[in-house]
Amino acid sequence: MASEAAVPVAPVVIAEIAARVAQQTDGVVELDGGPLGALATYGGGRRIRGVTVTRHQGRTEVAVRVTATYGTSLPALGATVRGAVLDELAAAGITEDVRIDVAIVAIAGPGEPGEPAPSSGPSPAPAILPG
Amino acid sequence: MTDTTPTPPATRQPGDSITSLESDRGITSIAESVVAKIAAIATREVDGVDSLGGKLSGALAGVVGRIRGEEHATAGVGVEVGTKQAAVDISVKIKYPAPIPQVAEGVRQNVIDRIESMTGLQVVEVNVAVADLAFDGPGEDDTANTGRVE
Repeated sequence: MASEAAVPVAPVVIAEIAARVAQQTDGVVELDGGPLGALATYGGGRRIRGVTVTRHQGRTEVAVRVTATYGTSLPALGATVRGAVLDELAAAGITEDVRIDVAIVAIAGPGEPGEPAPSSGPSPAPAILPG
Repeated sequence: MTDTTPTPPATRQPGDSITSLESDRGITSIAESVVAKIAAIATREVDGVDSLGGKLSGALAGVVGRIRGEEHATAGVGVEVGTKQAAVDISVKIKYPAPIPQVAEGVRQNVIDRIESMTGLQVVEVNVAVADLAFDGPGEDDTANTGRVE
């Protein structure tokens, strides 16, 4: 009934939703773009750092890489981010079969930069792409 | 129903893997470097610990720290991480005259507590090597001086 992919949604849209939600989760310091910031999703002139979206066989896989705060329970953090992103995607009417992989790739220790959550909200800092 | 999934874990970096907590809507993975850093911070939290490492002394360690940056935060810590368990080796410099066995035990307890609570891994082993002692300058100088004057 709920035929998947009824409305194609650009990967960058999914990535941006995931990034916003992840960044607002308690215990997440920032998203991590990996070596040279290569792990990102591009589209619409924007770059969403730390989130990749791949589709195959009718399934959408979203991988989110985060730096967490020291003291946070990391398994719980992963589950919280996953649940929140799935909720937000559902609320946005995205009905695809989505999997959310959360990778905790770094820890920000007490007193390290990045400790206070970026209050300016997500950083969809419109990176103007060449070309 | 989850058997026909030939999907390799997406965006897995070499040396990045470890603890994967599966759920039917995705996995949560914790990098090995994260476990190492937790161990490093947990060690510094213990009273009587001066610093980590000890193989490199003062100035040299500073230079290495500047070159290696973030990585240096976990110098003196070695971790081995499996899917459910972890083992940790730590090399520390202890403040003189703190009681060494008690400080080492404190490090062991705090590292186990922090890693287990934050990652859910079971810590099977924490080896603490006391590599050096840190002295507060004045003490030594005073005695040396009093011996000479008069």
